[in-house]
Amino acid sequence: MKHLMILATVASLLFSCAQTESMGSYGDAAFETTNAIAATEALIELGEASEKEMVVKGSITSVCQSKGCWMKMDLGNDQQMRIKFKDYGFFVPMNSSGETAVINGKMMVEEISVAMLKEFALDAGKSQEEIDAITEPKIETSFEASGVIFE
Amino acid sequence: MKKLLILALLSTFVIACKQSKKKPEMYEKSAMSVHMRQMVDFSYQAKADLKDGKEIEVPEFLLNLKDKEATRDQQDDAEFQAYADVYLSHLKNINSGDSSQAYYLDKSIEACESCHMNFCGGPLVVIEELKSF
Repeated sequence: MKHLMILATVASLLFSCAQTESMGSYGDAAFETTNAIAATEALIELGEASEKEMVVKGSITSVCQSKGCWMKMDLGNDQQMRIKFKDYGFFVPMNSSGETAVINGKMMVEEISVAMLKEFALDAGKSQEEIDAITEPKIETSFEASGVIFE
Repeated sequence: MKKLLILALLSTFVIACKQSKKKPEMYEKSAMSVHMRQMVDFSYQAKADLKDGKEIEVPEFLLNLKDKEATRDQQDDAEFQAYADVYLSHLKNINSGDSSQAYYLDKSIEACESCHMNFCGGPLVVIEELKSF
């Protein structure tokens, strides 16, 4: 009996541990996540298109530390994708780096201006030296998300 | 000994449980951020009113831009203050009541765009939408 009680206690503790709070959902979170493309496959899915609507699931590697107004997702092969939020309409938790997120919206390839690159570097907590070293615009893979669901 | 081991195991699980429950840390809107959302709301309404042939008036509180605290204290930057002065001069011209209210409203939105090309580029998409409204 004593052993059963102990087992029941451990089981319930493990179960309550598994019920960890997710970081929540943001923007328009009413989208289907079942067929989300793995982030490592997203560039293949984009192909030669300059932009494409898709649902992508991946790991968040960094988040804007000023407002949570952008985040980066790991695409594999040392590549990352910057995710902005549609119409600057919502932000994500500033401590969501390391979390898994499913995002719905438009993936694109675009040129980022020097001013925006400097802004992103400032938001990421880069040093003034690193910010001053940004002198050329950059072609980046980016994503405009209308909704984000953290798992 | 067995009881101590079970207690140690249970303690480990409880501690691990507490550490895995991360609470979302959300941005708390700065006074400047709130004020600028109000500037956008005013501009949309003003554009709609002008299209309906109505006269517009800039509310007094919108003129208190320069003392609002921004996320990264941009309000203390001399360059920001200069952009703010341009924006505010256009708002005051709107209130002068002559026939060029639409002109000065458009100029005030352009002033927003100019500033945001240098400070906080995120809202540029909002300004683009406003310009095409």
